[in-house]
Amino acid sequence: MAEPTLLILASLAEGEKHGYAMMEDIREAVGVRLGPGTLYGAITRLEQRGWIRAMETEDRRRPYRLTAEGRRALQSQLAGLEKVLKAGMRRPRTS
Amino acid sequence: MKRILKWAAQLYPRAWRERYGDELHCLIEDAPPRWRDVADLVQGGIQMQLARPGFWMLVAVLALAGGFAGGVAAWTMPERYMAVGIAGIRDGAAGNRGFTDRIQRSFQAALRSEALQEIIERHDLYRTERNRQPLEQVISRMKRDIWIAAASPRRAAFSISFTCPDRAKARAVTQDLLELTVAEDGKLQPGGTAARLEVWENPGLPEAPISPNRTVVLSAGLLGGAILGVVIGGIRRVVERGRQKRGAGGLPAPREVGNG
Repeated sequence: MAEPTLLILASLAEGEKHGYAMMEDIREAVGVRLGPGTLYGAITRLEQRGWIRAMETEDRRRPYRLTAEGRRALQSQLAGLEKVLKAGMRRPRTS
Repeated sequence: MKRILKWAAQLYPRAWRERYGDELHCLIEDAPPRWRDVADLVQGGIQMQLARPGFWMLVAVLALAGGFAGGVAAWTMPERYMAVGIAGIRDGAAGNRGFTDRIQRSFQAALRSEALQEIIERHDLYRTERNRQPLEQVISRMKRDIWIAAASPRRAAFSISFTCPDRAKARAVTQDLLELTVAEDGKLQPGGTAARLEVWENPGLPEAPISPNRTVVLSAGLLGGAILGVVIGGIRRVVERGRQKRGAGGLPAPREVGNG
């Protein structure tokens, strides 16, 4: 299963979202339903790293936006995953 | 179910809840509840508490850590046994200055270096120390394990004790010291006119160790950890208040947190 922080970065890549919107987006996109504790643990880490930024609260729901640094981090992680994927696909199947 | 989820959200540190609590409650309201989410929130709350514990959590965690360290120390320290023997003078008066001086002289004569060296070698005492230290230091160390005290407030008697990790050796060495003191006393009495000092009670085999006192060591670890927690928590509060006054504000930085 992908790291929750990566899933959140990928979800925010298409625009700002609040917690529940992220949870639903990730569930629809990759079939992974993040628990509330997992989601907010990852949001806390990402905000501390400066990879996402909290926006003004709307009706007690706070949307988050990807920062430039967060976008670079996402691209770097996706590039790394792509390499792993390509390498894995090149290997002959043994079973 | 949502009420349980909101209760589980209370497990997060207060500072974290002040920053993210409203959002998390909204998420709990919006998302269809699952029992798995309760475990997810409990796990997240515990991890967040451990990543940045509150004042009392810090005190509790450090007290437990101190208690654990104290427990490990208490159960790994070597046990020490004390054997006690008694010698005295029949019909002698306790508190008599002459008796006290006489016993002091006899005892000092018994503790001369040659006699102690002979006892050390005979019973193979302080093996580790003898490999590392000069003999004088080993003898000084042995003297610290020997005690003499008045045995009774009314009778002219005194007790000699020796403490070591081996109960049989503790008894044997105490017996030697007692007999040596009696023998030296006999040599020191001019013409054998004074009442004879004799062994009244031979040392028995000690049943229970006198140290370590595991309850005390464990309690000291708990208390030490709790005090350390209070000190660190207090310093942290002062530093954070200073930061807030200077306007740094914001969430007091939980580090690596979350259960993802």
